[in-house]
Amino acid sequence: MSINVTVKLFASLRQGRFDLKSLSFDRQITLTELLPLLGIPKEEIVIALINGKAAPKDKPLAEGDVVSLFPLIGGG
Amino acid sequence: MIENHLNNLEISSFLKVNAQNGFIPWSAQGEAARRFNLTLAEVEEIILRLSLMPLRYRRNTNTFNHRQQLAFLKSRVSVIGCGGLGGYVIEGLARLGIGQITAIDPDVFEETNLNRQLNSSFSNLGKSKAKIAAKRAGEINPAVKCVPRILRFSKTNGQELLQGSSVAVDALDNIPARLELAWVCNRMGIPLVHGAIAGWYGQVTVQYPGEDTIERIYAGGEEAVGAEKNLGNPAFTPALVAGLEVSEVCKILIQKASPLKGILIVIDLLDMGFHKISI
Repeated sequence: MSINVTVKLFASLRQGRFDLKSLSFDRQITLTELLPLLGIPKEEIVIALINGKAAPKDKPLAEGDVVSLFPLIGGG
Repeated sequence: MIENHLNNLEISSFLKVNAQNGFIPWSAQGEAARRFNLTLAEVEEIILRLSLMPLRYRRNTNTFNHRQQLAFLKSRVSVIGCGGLGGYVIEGLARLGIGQITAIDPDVFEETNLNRQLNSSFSNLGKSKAKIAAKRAGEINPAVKCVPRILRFSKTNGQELLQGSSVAVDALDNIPARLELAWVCNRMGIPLVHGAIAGWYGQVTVQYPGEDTIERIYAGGEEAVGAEKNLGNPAFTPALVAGLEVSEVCKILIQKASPLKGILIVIDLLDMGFHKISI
């Protein structure tokens, strides 16, 4: 079994990474497991959307999901 | 009192005689204040109620009518943080003619603020950000009353600081304080315009009373530091995000629903992307 997902990164998360990438996994994977694979440290909390909707980070990804990740911004 | 003045033929006719195509020049507004022993704000209110317009707002007239300009004059907007975002926000509010502005910030200007903060200059280093912002607001628009509060906003003093506010503007620089502000606004039923910046990036949203938008954005991040820790902030991001915040304040004050209700707009100036996220 394989699960194909598209990952879109936004704003500063793109720096040194990518804008959009298709990834394939041979097992179920959650958002929490996905982040370290993208080189995003756990502490760097992000806003995560699955198919355009806010999603809990422990939600397993499904075939064809589009994951969008935004950085935490707090400066003024 | 104002109602009485409206009936006062003397002041009405003074203003009408001095109107030029419906606009009252500043000299006449000042003269009316002196002659009738009124504040500049009181004269401004009478001008607007007579469906005249202070000349200083002439370039607003196709955007805001007398009624809306009067709504600005009769509003109190609290700006929490007078640094990168707050300096530009207060500038905008004063130029718009928001009658009462509260400028809240515990800090003084430092050399590292000079790259982006509107009110920072060599002569202002070491001076209170809130006080300098209030002073500038008074110089821009003497009909506006801007009160500086040299305090760090918290859940404890928040209720007192925001008392009577029509809108609060989040111009803070850290996540824990933003969460406290959102909590206080909800408790007091005050709409909150949120803006935050980091490097080339920024975000804006509006939280209406009863919503938990800010809490959702920063869920699990109470202890976290945002991307700004590594990226810093250049000159242009605060100006842009502050401008967007002021536009949302205007809409709330003239009772036009904000298109950012429940929506976070994430701005990427490096790629020139504006991304809307449903929160």
